[in-house]
Parts: sequence; C-alpha cells; structure tokens
Amino acid sequence: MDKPQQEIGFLCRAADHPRETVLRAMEKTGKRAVGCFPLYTPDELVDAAGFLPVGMWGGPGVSPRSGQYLQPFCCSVMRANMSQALDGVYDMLSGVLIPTFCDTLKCVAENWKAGIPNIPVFPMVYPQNVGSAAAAAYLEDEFIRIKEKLEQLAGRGITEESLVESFDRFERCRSVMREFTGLAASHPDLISAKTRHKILKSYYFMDKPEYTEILNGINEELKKRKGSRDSNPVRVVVTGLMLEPDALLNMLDANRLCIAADDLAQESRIFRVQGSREGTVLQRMARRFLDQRGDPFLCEQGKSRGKHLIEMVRQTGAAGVLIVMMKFCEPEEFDFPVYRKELDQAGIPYLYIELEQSMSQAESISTRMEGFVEVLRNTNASLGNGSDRSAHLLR
Amino acid sequence: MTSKEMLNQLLDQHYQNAIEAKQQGKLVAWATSISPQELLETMDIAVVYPENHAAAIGARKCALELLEHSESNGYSTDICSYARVNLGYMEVLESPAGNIPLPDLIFCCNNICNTVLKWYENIAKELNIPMILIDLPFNHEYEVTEQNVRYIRGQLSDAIKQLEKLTKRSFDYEKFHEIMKISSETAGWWKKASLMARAKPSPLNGFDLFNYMAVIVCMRGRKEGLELFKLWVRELEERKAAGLGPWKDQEEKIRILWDGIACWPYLSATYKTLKKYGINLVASTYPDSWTILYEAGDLDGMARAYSSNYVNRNLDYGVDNLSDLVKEFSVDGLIFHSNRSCKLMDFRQYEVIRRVVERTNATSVIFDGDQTDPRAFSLAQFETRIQSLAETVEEKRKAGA
Repeated sequence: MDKPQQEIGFLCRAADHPRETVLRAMEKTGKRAVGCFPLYTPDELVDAAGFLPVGMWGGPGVSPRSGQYLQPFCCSVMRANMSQALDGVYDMLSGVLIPTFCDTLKCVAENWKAGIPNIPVFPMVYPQNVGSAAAAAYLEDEFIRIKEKLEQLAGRGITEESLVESFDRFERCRSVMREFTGLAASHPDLISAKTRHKILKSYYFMDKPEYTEILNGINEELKKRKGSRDSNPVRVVVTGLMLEPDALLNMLDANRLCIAADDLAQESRIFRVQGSREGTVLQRMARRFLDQRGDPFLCEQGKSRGKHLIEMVRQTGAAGVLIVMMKFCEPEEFDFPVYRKELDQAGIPYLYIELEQSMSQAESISTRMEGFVEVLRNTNASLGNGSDRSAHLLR
Repeated sequence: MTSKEMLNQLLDQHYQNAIEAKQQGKLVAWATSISPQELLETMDIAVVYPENHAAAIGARKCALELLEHSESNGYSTDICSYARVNLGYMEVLESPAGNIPLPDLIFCCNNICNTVLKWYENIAKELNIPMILIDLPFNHEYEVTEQNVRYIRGQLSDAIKQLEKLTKRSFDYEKFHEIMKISSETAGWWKKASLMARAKPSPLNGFDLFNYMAVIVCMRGRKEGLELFKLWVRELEERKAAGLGPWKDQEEKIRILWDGIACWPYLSATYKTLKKYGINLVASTYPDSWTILYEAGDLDGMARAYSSNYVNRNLDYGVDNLSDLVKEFSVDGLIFHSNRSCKLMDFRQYEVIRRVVERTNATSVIFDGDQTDPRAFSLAQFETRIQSLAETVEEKRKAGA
C-alpha cells in the first residue's frame, strides 16, 4: 500500500473506533479528555487547559436506557449520546461541554446533571442575536466562564501564551481540513464519500497535532497526484447535520457520488470560518463564531443558507444538492422549506432523504438515490422545473 | 358585565384593533407570547400573538387544514404545531377562528424555546420584513446570572433603537414607564386570580386559566387587561366567600397540577373527562410564566424578569417550582402532557416526574398529545390515564385514612 493509502486507512480506522482512538490519544499524550457535544465547542480552551477535546456525535446504537430521560421523538444523535453516557461508554471523560443550541440540547444538558453525576457537565449558551453589539461581549464572558470551569477541572490556570498557542494550533488544523475538502473533491477515486467523511470525523477523537500532520501529509500527496481516474463522477453538494449512518455512505459510494463540497454541521461548518487576526484570543474565537452564516443553529435575519448552497453548487460545478435530514432535528427541519424554494428558483436539483443515525439499513432510499443519480448524470438542467423534481422528495 | 363577557369582548377588540391598525397603515408586529410588549405598546405598534391565534384555531378545531398546508410546503410533522399552523395561516390568511393582519415586523423572544427563533426567522424571510430579536439565554444555572442580564439589557437598548428607526419616532420614556407600571400591576392581578385556587374547594375552575391566558399575553400592558383581572379576582373572592367550588353540578374531589400546554383541539373533551371524575385543575406552570414583576424604570429588573420564566430555567428550578405548587395548592395528582410540539417541556419531564413524586408523594400520570395537531392525541388513552390517576389517589386516601 502506498503512503497516502496507509494514512487514509489509519484515519478511517480512528473514526470507526472512537473509544480506542481516544484511549490511545490519552495514553500517548498523558492527557485527560473532555467531551465536546455538537456544536462549536471552544476546543481551543479545552486544549489550553491541557485536555484532549473529544467530539460526541452519537453512535449507531440507542439502548433502551435513553428512554428513562428522553421520549422516542427525540433526535437519534442525542438519544445515542444519552444511551452511551448511561452505559458508561464515556467514563474516560473528565468533563463534558454541552453548547445548548436547540431545545433538545438544553434538556440533554439538564438530564446529564441528573443521570451521569460522575462526569461533570458544563452547559454553554452561545448568543443568538449575533447582530447585536451586546453579543460579542456576552460570548467573551461565556468563554471566560467556561475557561474558569476548565481551569478548576484541570487544577491549573490557562496562560494567555498557552491560549495563543492553542488557538493557532486549531486554526492550522482547520485550514488543513479546509484544504483537504477541496482536494478530496478532485480525487473521488481515492477519497470516496465514505472515506472523506471518516477522515474528517477522525478529527473528533484524535490528538489534534497528530491529526493535523497526518491530514496535511495526505493533502501533500493529493497535490502531487494526477487527476482522478474517475472521469465522470456525479458531483453533489451535501447539506444537513451529518453524513451518517454507514448505510447511507455505502450507498453514496455504490452510486459513485462525489462530495464537491459540504454544508454539514459535523464537517465544514466547524472549520469553514477563519478566525480574525485582531484582538485577544477570546475575541478572535468569538468573532469566528459570530461570522458564521447560513447555519440552522444560529438565528440569521434574511437566512442566507439557500444563497450559500447555490453559490457552493455554482463554484464547485456540482450537479445538485443532497439534503440529509436528521429526523427530529428541528433547526434543520425548519430551514428546508425555505432553501428548497430557493433551489427550485435557481433550477438546482436536489434529493431530500430523512435519516436516523441508528438506521442500520437504508434500502428504503436506495431507489430514489439511484434515480436521482441517473437524472443528474443524464440531464443536469432539465430537473430544475416541473413535477419530476418533486418525485425526488421524500414525503 | 361578567369577567367572562369582558374577556370575550377584549379579545374581539384586540383582533379588531390589529386589523384596523393595518388598514390605517400603522405598523403591526407579530410577537412571541412572553416578550417585552412594553416596548411595542410604547411605540403604539399593534401587536398580534401567533401562539394565541394558533391556540384559538386549534380550539375551534380548524388547525388541520393549515397544518397540512405547511406540510405541503415542506414543513415536517415533527415541527411545533403552533409554528405549522401559523406558517400555514401566513399564506392562507383565512380561518374560521378569526383573522389577523400580516405583520410589518417580527418581535421574537426565545425565553419560551429556541423553536421560535426558527419559526420567526422564517416568517421574516418569507415576508421580507425586519425581525427584532431579544435573545434570553437558557438559564442552566439556578438563577439568572448578571452576565445574562447585561446581555439582555444591551439588547433591550438595541431594540429601542431599532424601533425608533422603524417608526421614525423617538422613544417616549415617560410613556414606557407608565406601561411598565401597568404591565407589572396586571401581572400581579393575574397571579392573584390563580392563587384563589389555593382554597378548598377551589372557586376557580382551572381550565379557565387557559382562556384568560389569552389576555395576559396580549393585553398585559393595557388598562383594560388590568381591569379584567381585577374583576375576575372579585368574582372569585365572592365565590370563595360563598364556599362555592369550581362547578355547580360536580364536587371537587381531586386537585391536580397540569404540566404543559393544553390540547386545544380537545380542550372540551379533556375538561369533561377530568370533571367526570371530579378532578379540578388547581395549579400549573402558566400563572408564573406571566407573573413578570419588576420596578417600573428598571431595565435590568425587566431583563431578569423576562428571563425568569419556568421553561427558561434549569431542571432543579423546575422540580422545586412544581414541588412548591403541589404543597401550596394541596395537589393530589400531577398530569403531564407529553406534547409532540414542545421538545423543551417534554425532554425534562421524566426526570422532573421522578423527583417531584419522590419529594411530594403526589400521584402522577403522563399522556401523549399535542397542543394543536389533532392527529397526535387519543381520547381513549387520556381517559385511561385519568381513570388510573383517580383510582390511585382514592387508594392512597384510603390507605392514609
């Protein structure tokens, strides 16, 4: 196996075995770990306090124990997190950060205090009124509050110097991730949709300097590589919470779909905004968050998500948009009718599929996926109007 | 005039005023139910509350058509049914339950949930109108922190500037002061009315809270609203003095606390089921949600008060609050509405039930329903749960005796 393939394989395995990966990173670095729920946790602060930040994005199984706290109409990602926490899967964590962007997250943070008393939880509330001058000051206060909690947990202070180092480290990691998504789109024969997802997902479980170097190495190899051997992949922009479960990824690969770019909460949304160079680190972190646009978890007047998706399609030359809807995710569900209309107006075809992370099979969507791909392959333009399009909506 | 007659008159007047304001070219706002309407009243902006309207549509059993309209636009059935009703109404603009004018601005406060952020953001986008947001961070700490108060206070100042820009008029702080005073006073009388249910038997039929609630939402800052609650309290005091219970034809046998929003499409069916067993609703989390008290002129106090409502508070507060209500109102049983529309209330319920029951020894039941979607409720299940509640309370009484 040549070098990039070895490294790619390494990251994919890391993504497939979160617990082992985290334990290995803890052992290797001698650091304790802090869990980071979706979304936008201040990983820099966790790092500066001397902890490994570990992403917590659910998992394939939901044990009945989550039913002690959550009704079945709660999103599968949060039911999985609650199940795993109750089952002791996260016992290696010294603490957990939960930014409560939606109503479900608010409740999960509160239930955590009751149900998992052995792992301290630090709920965070990000500002929603991002246009208000008061929002930046509030967010900075929120970061300071969390910084103090992490300092207490670590039993040591965070120096300004270590914070600068951590921020720079994460900025570099995010820039390498951004570069990777661009390169991956040109090499779908080597970086399939599934591989792309796993490589990006492994970020959440690995020691970040190690992850950054490996990913950077992959980028360098991709840059040296000639163009893709697959001369005619179907390129799509994908939008939604996350590209899971595996059954979906397998289907994307079987249909040779290439991710031209993503607008996923678990992937590009976390690294697409570059930090500013002005102000203190906490101000730069706050600005990076407040500059985010087109995100369903952040209130935005004028809702630019549709416009953003259309731009992504045009810039990447994608043939259409794949909408992966995590069932019961209200922020995502609310955005769909609005950007759907904009995609329609722009004549951009799309496929809407509703998923739960716990689904082990995705046969119910395979026919529609095949039909969508075939249409994209044959006629890129004709799907933009008329009733054909609605046939691709899952209702 | 009885308070009930006055209530209906005020509600008619409220909607009529909004329609006339629109016709006269005045600004109309759509606002969330626990928002600082004081700012809008001061600016003489007509305000309509989509939650009130959606509840009325639900109660008149005409929600389904609007729900289906939204669903055909791509709104998932998992989304809050108030939002689906309203987003449907926004296009259909016709309901047998009464009509409201389209807004010129949106006034949104997320102290009731983050769902309203998405819902109102969509209205503003679709109608291409400005949205004024007051973001009230969820209180994961027991009390509202100074950090939150500073942020909210800053936004209140921002909102005033936005309103000045929109109306091209300067903000009248004297009038604002007066409206703040009336609002606090009205809230005080609303609370007073609800406290009448502490008497045994309660002179208050608790389902009336669901009806009078419409006015505490939409006329808190108006003298007419204040007068209504004063009148209602007088009536309840008279009933209490005469030793009257909630009903003429039924005795109050069991006193319950209701957690969650009403099932509007089945308001009468749920009410009758409870009454059949002599069950009176004496307490709920509603009264305190609009007991928004602060000193007139104190913007920090106003910021804190608007962030202090039950659903914006943490689980420990919720447990203390319900447990205190059980004691204060001599509650025998708790009825929890697992409401498909309201994730924020639902996903804390199981833990709240465990702790409140442990602390108070009250009997509890939970039923599945929805605030406005008639498809998510089964009367048979509701009745079975209520029957079991009644039996358990009786058994406990016998065992106690």
